[in-house]
Amino acid sequence: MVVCGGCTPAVGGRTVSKTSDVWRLDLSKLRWERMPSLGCIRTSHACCAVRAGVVVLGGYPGDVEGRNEILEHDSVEEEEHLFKVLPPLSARGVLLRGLLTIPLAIDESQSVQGQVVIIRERGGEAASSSVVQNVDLATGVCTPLPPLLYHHGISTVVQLRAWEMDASFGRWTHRLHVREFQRRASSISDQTQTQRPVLNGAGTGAVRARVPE
Amino acid sequence: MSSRGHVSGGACVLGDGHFAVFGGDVDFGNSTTSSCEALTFDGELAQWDRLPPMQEPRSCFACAAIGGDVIVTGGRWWGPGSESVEVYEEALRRGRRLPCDLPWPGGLRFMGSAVMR
Repeated sequence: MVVCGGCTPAVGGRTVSKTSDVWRLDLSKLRWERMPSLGCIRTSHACCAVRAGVVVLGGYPGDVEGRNEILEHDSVEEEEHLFKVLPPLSARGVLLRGLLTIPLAIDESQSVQGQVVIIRERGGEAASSSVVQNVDLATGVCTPLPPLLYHHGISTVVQLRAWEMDASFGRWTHRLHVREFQRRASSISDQTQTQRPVLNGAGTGAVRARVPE
Repeated sequence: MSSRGHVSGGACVLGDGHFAVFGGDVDFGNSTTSSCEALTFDGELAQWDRLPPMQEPRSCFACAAIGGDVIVTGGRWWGPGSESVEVYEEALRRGRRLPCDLPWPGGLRFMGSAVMR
């Protein structure tokens, strides 16, 4: 498990400290190991595993939309494997600051560096809808995808079984959420089957690790 | 089951294929509190079930499913931050704190996280 960027909480007058640090938790040793740092300090960014690496998109502070990065390999010892800057995205405003953006890596083999589907709130007066874009990491080319069928503010999105059903969890009650699931589960494959790529969502990992007692 | 929505929680897919959500901030109108609640959703039964709560309330934290375990670390938008690491072991249906706090005293939040294959 890799953790990158972020900030310390501001409590008791303590100054918030933002970081570009990247750490990997070795679950067999229960030890954090430092990895090459991000190219810039970032918080609230989108981050996911792509192939054997980690891609980092957007976030705070400031003008980081054009500073998307990728770590291509698991590289604690290999110093040459630093985060590399990716091309800027072809569509402006895809990674808006202050709006949670959730990335899902796509299971594909044809692109040079992989692709990511990003999902975020639209923001402003259209906050009740979502933005879904396919991003080719090698070129930065963004391709719009259909928005989520229902949207009440996104907290997190994962992929459950292939692309038959996905799930978002946001500012609605659990009871409403169940109904949302039922409606989405029955309709999403019919409505978007030909448009949606196969997704490998965050948390679907097949990585084997034994956590010591 | 809770009647309030959570924001800034964590989520993952468990080894059994079920969707699981952890923590998040709960808005009580005049105050906001981070939650340690953990829930799993069975899509076949359209039913939420409780998992053992996390040891600490968390929001804006890192969450990842790895080989039958769910690792959560850091976070908390409101109040003091968390530097602890917890594991939820699906087979044992138990959560416990791991002896490997984040290397950031005071904790870390709004970070990115991923599981490298």
